[in-house]
Amino acid sequence: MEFSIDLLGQSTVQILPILFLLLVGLALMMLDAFKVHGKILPILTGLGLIFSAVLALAYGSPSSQVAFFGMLETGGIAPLVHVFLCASGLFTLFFLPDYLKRYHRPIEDVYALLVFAVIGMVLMANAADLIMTFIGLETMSMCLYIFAAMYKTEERSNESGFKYFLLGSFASAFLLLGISLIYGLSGMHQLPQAKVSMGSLLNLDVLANTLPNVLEGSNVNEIIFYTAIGLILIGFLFKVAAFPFHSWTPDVYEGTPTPLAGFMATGGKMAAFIALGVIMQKLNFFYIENGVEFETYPKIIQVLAIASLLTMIYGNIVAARQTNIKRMLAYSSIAHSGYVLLGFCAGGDGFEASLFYLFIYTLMNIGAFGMVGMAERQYEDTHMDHWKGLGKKAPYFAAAMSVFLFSLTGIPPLAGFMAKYQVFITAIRADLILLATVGILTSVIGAYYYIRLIVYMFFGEEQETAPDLNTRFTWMPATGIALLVALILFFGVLPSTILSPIDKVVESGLGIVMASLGM
Amino acid sequence: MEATLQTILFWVFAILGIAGGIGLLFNRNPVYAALSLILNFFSIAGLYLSLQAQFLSIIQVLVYAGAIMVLFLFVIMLLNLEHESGVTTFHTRRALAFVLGLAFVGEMLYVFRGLSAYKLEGSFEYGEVEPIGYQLMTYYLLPFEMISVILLAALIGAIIVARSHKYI
Repeated sequence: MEFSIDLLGQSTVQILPILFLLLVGLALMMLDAFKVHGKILPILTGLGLIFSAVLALAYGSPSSQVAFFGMLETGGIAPLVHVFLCASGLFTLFFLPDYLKRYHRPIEDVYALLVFAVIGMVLMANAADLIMTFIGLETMSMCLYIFAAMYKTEERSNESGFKYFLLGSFASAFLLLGISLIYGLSGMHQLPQAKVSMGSLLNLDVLANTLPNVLEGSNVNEIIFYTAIGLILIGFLFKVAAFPFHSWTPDVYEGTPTPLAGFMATGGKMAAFIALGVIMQKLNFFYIENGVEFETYPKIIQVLAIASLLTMIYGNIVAARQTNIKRMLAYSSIAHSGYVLLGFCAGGDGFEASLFYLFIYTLMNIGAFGMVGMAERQYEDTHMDHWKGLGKKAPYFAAAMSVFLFSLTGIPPLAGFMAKYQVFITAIRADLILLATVGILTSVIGAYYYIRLIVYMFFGEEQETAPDLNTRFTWMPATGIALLVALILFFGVLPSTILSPIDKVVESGLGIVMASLGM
Repeated sequence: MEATLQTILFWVFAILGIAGGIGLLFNRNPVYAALSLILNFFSIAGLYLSLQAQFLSIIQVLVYAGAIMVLFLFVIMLLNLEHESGVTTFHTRRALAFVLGLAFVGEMLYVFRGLSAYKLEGSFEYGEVEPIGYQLMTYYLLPFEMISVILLAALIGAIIVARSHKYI
C-alpha cells in the first residue's frame, strides 16, 4: 500500500473509537490530578467505554478494512471485538469502586489505566500486522502488571506484581524473537528488490503471500519458520495461561485486587486469544479444498491440540483441590483456556465457537470474580469456609453467585452451556473425538468444584464471622450483577443473537482474505 | 575467507562481545559485571556499524551503554551490594534448567547452521537515519505513536509503586 496523506487522514477517521478511548484515558488522568474523586471517575470511564463501543459499531464496515497502511483492522470482526473488550472493561467497573473503597485505598489512577489496558487489548486483537500485535500486547501487559502490583503494602500484591512482571517480560521476549525470525523470513523473499518505500514486511496479508514462497523447497527456512511459530506460540500461550506456561496464574490472580483479576482473566485472555486466532486465520492455518478441510501446518495444530488437552486436564484437576476461591477460579480460568484452544484446533467454525465462548466466559467470570471480591472479609481473604451458610444470610447474593457458578459449569438454560456446546460440537465435527471427550469429562470435574461452593453456601453451617453482605449491595455492584445475570440467561436461551453476528463478521471479514488468495 | 577490513572488524567485535558477556556472567563483583556488560554493548554497536546500521549503532551506545548502564551502576552503588554469595550448590531444578538451556542452544545452532549459505549483497540504505525516520513517520506511524501509551502507563505505574504510603 503506497503512502499518501489522504490515506493518513482516512485512517485517522477509521480509528476514531480508539482515539476517543485515548482521550477518555487522558481526561481521567487530568481529572484525577485536579482531585475530582468519588463515583464520578468510574461513571465517566463507563460512559466512555460505552460510547467508544457505539462509535466502533457505527464506523465499522462488515468487510475487511485496514487503517494506517495495513497496521490495524477496522472492519470485519474488529467492531465486534472492540465491543466485547469494552464490555469486559465496563463490567469490571461495576465492582471496582466499592472494592477499592472498602480497603480505604481508592487509587484513582486505576480508571485511566483500565482505559489504556482496553486500548492495548483492542490494538492487539485487531492488529493486521505483527508489530501492532506486539505493541498492543505490551500496552495491555504494562497496565496489567500495575494492577497486580498496586497494593504495595501487601505482601501478596508485591509477590504477584513481581512474578507477573518478570515472567511476562520473559514471555514477551520469546514472542518478539519469534516475530523477528518471521521478519527475517519475509525479508529474505523481498531482499533483491529491496526499496525503502516498501511498507511493513510483517503485515499478515503480506506474510500470507510471502511465507509459502519462502518455505517452498527450503528445508532451512521451514525449520526457521517452525522455530519462529513455536516462539510466538510460547508468548501467546503464556498470556492466555495455557498448560506449560500457566504457573504464574494462581499467584498473580490471588494478589491482584479481585475485580481487576477478573478483568485480567477475561479481557486479557480474550485479546490474546483473538490475536492468535486472527494470525491463524490470516496465515491460512486451515484451508478448504473441494469441501474438505486441510491443515497447512499440521505440526502447529498438533502442538495446540496437545496444549489444549493438557490444559483442560491440569486446570480442572488442580482446581478441584483448591480451598481458596480465588485460586480455584484462577485454575478454572486455566481450564477454560483449554476449551478455547480446543475450538482453535477444530479450524473452520472453531474460531467462531471460540469467540462466542470467550464472550460468554467474560460475562460469567467477571461476575464470579466481582462477587468474590464483595465477599472478602479483609484484603485477599477468600477461603471457602467463610462462604458456608451465606445462602441464609444473603440469599440474593448466593442466588446470583450460583447463576455464575452454574453457568461456568455449563448447566443447560445458562449461556455457559451453549458456549461449551458450540466448542465441543465443532470439535466433534472436525474429528477431534479424543479432545472433545476429554473436554466433556473434565467439565464433569469442573462441576464438582463449582457446585461444591454452591453446596457450601446453601447447606453449610452458618458462620458467625461471615461479613454482612447486604450492606455491600450498593447500586453499582447490584446493577452489574443484575445485568450480567440477565445477559447470561438471555444468551443461554437465545444464543443466536450473538452467534449469528459473530458468524457474519468472521465470514465476511476473514473469509474475503482467504478467497482473494485463491484458497 | 579473505581478510577484508570488515571480516577483521567482525572478529574483533564478536570476540570482545562474547568476552563481555562471559565477564558479565562470571564476575562476582556487580560493578565489574556491569562494566563487562558495557563492553558487550559497545562491541554490538560496532557490529551494527559494520553492517551499515549507523542509526542503530548510535542508539545502542546512547541508550544502552549510556543511559541504561548509568542507571544500573547508580542502583548498584546506591544499594551498596555485597559480593554475590556463592551459588555452587547443586539443585535438580537448576540442572534441569541447564540441560534444557543447552538443548535450546543446540536447537538454535541446528536451525541456523545452513544460514551461511545466504549472502547479503548490495548496499542497504535502511541503516541511515533518514529512511528509518521516513518509515517511522509513514508506514509505522500508528505503532510509533501508540508506544507513547505504553510509556504513559509505565509512568503511572512507576508513580503508583514509588509514591509514599500516605497517598495510598
